[in-house]
Amino acid sequence: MDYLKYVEAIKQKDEEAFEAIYYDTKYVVYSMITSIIKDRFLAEDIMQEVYMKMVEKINYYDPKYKFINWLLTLTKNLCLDHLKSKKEVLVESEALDSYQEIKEEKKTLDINKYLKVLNEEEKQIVLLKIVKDLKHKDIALVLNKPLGTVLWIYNKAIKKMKKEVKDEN
Amino acid sequence: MKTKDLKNKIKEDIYLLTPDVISKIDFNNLRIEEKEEEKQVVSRLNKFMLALSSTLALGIALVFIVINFSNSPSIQTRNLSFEAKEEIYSLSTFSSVMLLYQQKQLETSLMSDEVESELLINNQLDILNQYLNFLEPLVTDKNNLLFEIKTSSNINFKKEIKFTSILLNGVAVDYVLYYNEEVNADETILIGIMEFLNEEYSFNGVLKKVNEQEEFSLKAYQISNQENYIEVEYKVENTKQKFNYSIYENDEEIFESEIRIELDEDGVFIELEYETDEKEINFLIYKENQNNTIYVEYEIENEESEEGYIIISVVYDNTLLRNVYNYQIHFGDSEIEYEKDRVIDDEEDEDEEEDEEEDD
Repeated sequence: MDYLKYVEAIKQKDEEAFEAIYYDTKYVVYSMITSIIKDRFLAEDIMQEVYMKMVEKINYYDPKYKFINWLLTLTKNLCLDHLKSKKEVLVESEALDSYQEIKEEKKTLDINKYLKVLNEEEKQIVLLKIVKDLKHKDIALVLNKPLGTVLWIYNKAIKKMKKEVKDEN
Repeated sequence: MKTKDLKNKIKEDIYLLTPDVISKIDFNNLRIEEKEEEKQVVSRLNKFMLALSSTLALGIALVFIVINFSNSPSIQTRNLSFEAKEEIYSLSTFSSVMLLYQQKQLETSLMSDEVESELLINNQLDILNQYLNFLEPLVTDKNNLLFEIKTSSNINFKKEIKFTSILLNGVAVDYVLYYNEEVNADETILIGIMEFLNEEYSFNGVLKKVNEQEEFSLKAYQISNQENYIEVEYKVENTKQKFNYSIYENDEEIFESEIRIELDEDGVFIELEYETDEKEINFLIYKENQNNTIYVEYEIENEESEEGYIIISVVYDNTLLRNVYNYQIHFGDSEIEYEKDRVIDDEEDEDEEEDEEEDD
């Protein structure tokens, strides 16, 4: 997809261009969110916020870099902001913790049984690779990790999941 | 379950779970923020300094341009963009010649099995290495790939292309091909030669338009042995430049492979794909600029499947007294190292360095 063409159109308030980008990126954006946020309702709210922010901040996108990397970095930062604010709230009301945990469990996202064997970092890399077929080099940029580390984590994760499949059979 | 199926299952689940939030977004009421320009109030003094430095910079630039123009020969130079037929001619010829040369060298090369390993990739390294030898100059930063198109210095041919690249060890290498071109209404015919490691290789090619798309095919061989040759077919497919190679021995096709090249903001990404022993083999090859290494991600699929990556660097082998490729294979937690032949000729530049040292 030629994102630049659509980005320029969004700047001219072209709704069709917005929809084109939305439908092309929604799965990978949601993957990024679910790798950080465990609450399905919050994940949905954040997804909405991501696309609103994308439009509002579209003039800040620098075409020297890949659009998808910019959008995923925006998504990651929004998720981290939410986690940070949630942590602050929780510290203020520790008494609510146990109630909160039970409530969370019911809402927790359960994407795929094989992904369960992965830790957060592994899940994030695997989803970005599988859902949008992003290059490891780009994943490394978005997650701010060395390329070798991303490749190593990805391969370890695939091996873990395959072991799970084998054990299950 | 194969890795491919596992990935598809995860993808399907994400597709099913992803909510649609577009209906909740009122696009027309969203306000696009103006990018805050650097609101620096430039004082009069600053304006004066700016004007002065601009004048100086302009002067320096003019001197630089004059010097450069007076030194530059009248040739057309360009970086890799796949927008000129000469790039396709060069890459097709160069890659075919390298493959043909290595086919001849297979018996004497550093074959695998030096290290015992059950990894499936182990049996693919000799094939990968043949390709790596011509891909090394291509996976460099695309600004390091330079094509010079000029009038031939060989009296038998009218045209000459010099293709220059920077290798992993920072050495620049040149490959030169000479050819005659016959342009007809529906096709362009090419006949020429390329020298590689003191041997001459002949080639003939045809460029034509098929459904408004340019397609090119080329055959490379040696006059002394015309039954062993390489055929390559080129076309563009979904923004990727696709090269299909067929290796012939005694006029019979023995091996087929496909290479897809994609130019990216970050550099050149190359996919190599072939089938052998009922296995589908896929490689993604690119350069990691920070460490001057090549990364190769691989996938091997058959009843079993294997996915891993390889880090390749150029090292000096003290026994062989020449540069070789060092392969570090990573699969899960395992890591294995191999050394493989590197046939790229960067000796000339070493001689030049020696000459320079002598001059000093």
